[in-house]
Amino acid sequence: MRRCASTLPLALLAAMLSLPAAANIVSPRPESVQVTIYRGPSLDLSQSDEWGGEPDSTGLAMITETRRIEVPAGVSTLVFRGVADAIVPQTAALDGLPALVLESNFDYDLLSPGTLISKSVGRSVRLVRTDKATGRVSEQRAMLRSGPNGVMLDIDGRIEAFDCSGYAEKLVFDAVPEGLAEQPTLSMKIRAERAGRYTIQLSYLALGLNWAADYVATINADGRTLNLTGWITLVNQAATTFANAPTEVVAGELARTPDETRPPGPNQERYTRNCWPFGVFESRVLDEMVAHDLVPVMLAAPAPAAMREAIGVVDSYPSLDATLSELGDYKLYSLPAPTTVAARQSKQVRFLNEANVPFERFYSYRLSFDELASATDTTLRAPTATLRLQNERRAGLGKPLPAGIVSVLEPNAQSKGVVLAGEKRLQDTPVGLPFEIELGRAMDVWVEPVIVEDRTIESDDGPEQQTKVEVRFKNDKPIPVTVEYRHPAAKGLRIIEASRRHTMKLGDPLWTFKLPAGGRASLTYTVRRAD
Amino acid sequence: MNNVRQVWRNVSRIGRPLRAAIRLPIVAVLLVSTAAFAQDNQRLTLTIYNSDLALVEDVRSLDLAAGRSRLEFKDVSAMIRPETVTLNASGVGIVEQNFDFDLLTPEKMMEKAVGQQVRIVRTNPGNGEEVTETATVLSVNNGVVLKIGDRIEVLQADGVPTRVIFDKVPENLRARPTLSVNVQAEAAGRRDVTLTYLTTGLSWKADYVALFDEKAGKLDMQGWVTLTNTSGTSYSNAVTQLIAGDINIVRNDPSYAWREEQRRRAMRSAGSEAGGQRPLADYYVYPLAEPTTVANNQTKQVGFLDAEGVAARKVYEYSASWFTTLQEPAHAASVVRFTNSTRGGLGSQLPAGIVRVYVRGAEGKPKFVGENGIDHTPQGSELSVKIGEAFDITVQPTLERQERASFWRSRYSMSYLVRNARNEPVTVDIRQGGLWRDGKVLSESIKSTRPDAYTLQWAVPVPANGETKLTFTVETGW
Repeated sequence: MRRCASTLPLALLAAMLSLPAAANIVSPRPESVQVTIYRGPSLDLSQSDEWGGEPDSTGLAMITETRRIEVPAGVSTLVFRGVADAIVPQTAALDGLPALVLESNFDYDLLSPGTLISKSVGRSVRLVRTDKATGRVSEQRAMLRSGPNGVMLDIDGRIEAFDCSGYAEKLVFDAVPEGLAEQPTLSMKIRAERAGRYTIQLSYLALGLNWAADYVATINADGRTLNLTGWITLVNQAATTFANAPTEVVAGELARTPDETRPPGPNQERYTRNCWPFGVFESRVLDEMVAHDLVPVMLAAPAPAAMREAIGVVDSYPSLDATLSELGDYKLYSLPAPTTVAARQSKQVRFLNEANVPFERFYSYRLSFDELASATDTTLRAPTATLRLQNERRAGLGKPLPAGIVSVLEPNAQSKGVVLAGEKRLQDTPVGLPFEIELGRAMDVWVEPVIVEDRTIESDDGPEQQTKVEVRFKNDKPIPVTVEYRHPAAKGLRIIEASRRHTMKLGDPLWTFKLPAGGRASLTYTVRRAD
Repeated sequence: MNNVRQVWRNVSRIGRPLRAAIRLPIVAVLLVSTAAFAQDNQRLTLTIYNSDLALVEDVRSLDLAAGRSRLEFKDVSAMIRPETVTLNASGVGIVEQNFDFDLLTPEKMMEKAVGQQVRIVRTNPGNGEEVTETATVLSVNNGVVLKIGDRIEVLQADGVPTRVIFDKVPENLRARPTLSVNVQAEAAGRRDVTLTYLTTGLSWKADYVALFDEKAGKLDMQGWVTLTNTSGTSYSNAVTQLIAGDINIVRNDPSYAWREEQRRRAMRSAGSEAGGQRPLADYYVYPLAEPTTVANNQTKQVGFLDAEGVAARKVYEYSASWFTTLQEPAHAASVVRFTNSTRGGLGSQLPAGIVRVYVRGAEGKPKFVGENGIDHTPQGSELSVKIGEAFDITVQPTLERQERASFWRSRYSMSYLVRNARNEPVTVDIRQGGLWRDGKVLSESIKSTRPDAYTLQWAVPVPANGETKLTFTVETGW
């Protein structure tokens, strides 16, 4: 991690910058690479298919590369090739080299048609024209007067525009201008005491890798337990492939500074023609522009959406699970074997497989005045079917559950298979925290709330609103169900009278009913609240 | 192109102090045809601010003729603020200073050719034969209208390949924005000419690497200056100094103030120890003692701080600004606290930047655990860097009861159920804002402290694999 072997004040460091540098030492590629992936804020992995577009929604990865280099004594420059394309260069750190890092540079002045032209302004180039009729090729020297936003040429004192005449013409350059590289280059200027061969570790942060947890909860035939399987879905949205890399993912919310921790923008100059107006045949010009690749065209197919389709396959064969450990206040999952995270690829690894986890199924309904105020022809309301689980070892679970989408599958007697009962986005859930999975609107279980009285009562502290509510509950299912009915919390809320006793849940009064198959129940209560 | 436009828009608003330094004699414009191209023995000094701004001092030794001559500076920053340019040389007066940013493009070329003669070369698509004619450009409006002899035509209306040949490039159309200065020299001879200007596209910030060892209560910290150059120009062998401080710059970006506000939050108490940089003005100066080359489209890092064994500790925090119930529990923040005093082991003021925190993983390798911004921090300050949210520590706030105490006052009964799934006991600092006038505590399960009139704070101890419920009732205005 430490980039310097010893402590030096800035002035001394800088004093060494001017020493003549030895020839560059190029490290062409890492010997091996280790990848630790941090989750991005967006769990929907299919949303951002380019790291460049949404830097604050992408995940982050810490890449640790092992490289072998040979350094001479004295000052030299190490050039690291083959780093991840979405590297955040200011996070690069060198470990294992007994040398002082004098400065670290990341150069991204890249060779492109635009920079080739702009760096050649004022130089002599060759203009090659092909006669469309005869196929004759003619070539002449020209001085590049301007570019890349519209190229003007000086051909023996005649000033002509390039690429505006309808001719088949191209520019030929004698050499690549200095300082333009084919890919961004990370280099470090170092001073080593002794020459030697070293195995070093280069680590840095990079964007473009992301992961999310996905869960499949399959309800067993007994209706009281489920099997919970958790999958880690890795996505590599970047263009770099990490081959055969030990891979880990970190669960938990890291503080991030997405505006700062991002690759420097490519900031490349683009070639544009900037011709004079063609007026009368604009559509033809557009066709021509497409032929010149000047109109943006979708080049590559977007990365495939995260492979959520695969989640239906649960434990049909034994699989190696990711192992869990701690990293500070986060959870670290290590993939069971080195894996290749290829460019624009997603892959899944199981990290959780718990059988026969007991759950409680109930139907919840929270009174909403807004909903009641909008007149509808029916007073019947469908409560929300919900599963409640205790994340405790004695309750058959007791595992950290990283945030992700839980898909609940339920056996269906008619189809003799399973059907999707509902999906829920789960938060990071530590051991010991109960959690609920809302599946959707209930069928055949009804809550029918009716406000029978709503009036203002004057009290010493000001007016109060008094509301009397009558609620009927119906279970038309052939099995017994539990219904939880909540009255929303409000300022000064108190229950004046009620036909049954209540408990509290998150500040709301709560009434619980166990309804047998085909059962009915009712509740009458009066509340007052500050107006 | 955009940069040029932007520079120009700023002209009337920015840089008045520097502009005031220029004393332009009011002399009739005289075009001097022999332009001296300033290239020789360039000596550059860069003063880079951490707010996308740099002061460039460019000293060149030039051989000037006596009398009037024109100096063209083509290799100045492409993002120069031309209104801030000053030029100094002994025995040399400035007649006029121009910044030409009308760029040479085919379209501009044609527009400037209106009323003038050009040559048209048409190539027969059948046999490749070329016919050259002389034409007068009549107009360039959604198409080019030409007068050829007594015919009026639209250029390329038939789609036949047609070249246009111009005789010369107009004086003020250029490949790059170009700064030129007309000077009046007392006598001929070689002398140093100093060109000074402000430019955007050069900036710096600090990046810190903090390796935190929670068990030992220590962190090792390295500071790196990160220079970025997107100004379109490379600066070779420049004497470079970096200025840390917030100087006032007129800004257009509304999100800037918000970002600035965010980064100021890390400092808990400002220190008063004298720093090593001995500031005379309201900023710190970090000189790089020897020249360096800052290439275009380059990010360059130089180390400036390396401290080991800085005393540091981790705390868990949860802050609520109002009395409210969360439908799902929230996680406590994981925060690293340390001071940059000499006693704490750091002993350096810290320029604004990003602190990236690492801890050693199971196999001993450092692993990234979070990052946050810090402000310019004077030596002796206490810093509090939030690195993330603790997976295993959750807080469930519940507003158990709220009622009117009187017409103007309310009572709030809150509970915070703090759960700890770690195998060790922890303490979570809960901060409750929202107390207004005459706010007071009626009852509480743990004794609170009162950082300020509007805030309460409790240190809530939570056993390993257990939970603690903090309950309290407060009464406050409205």
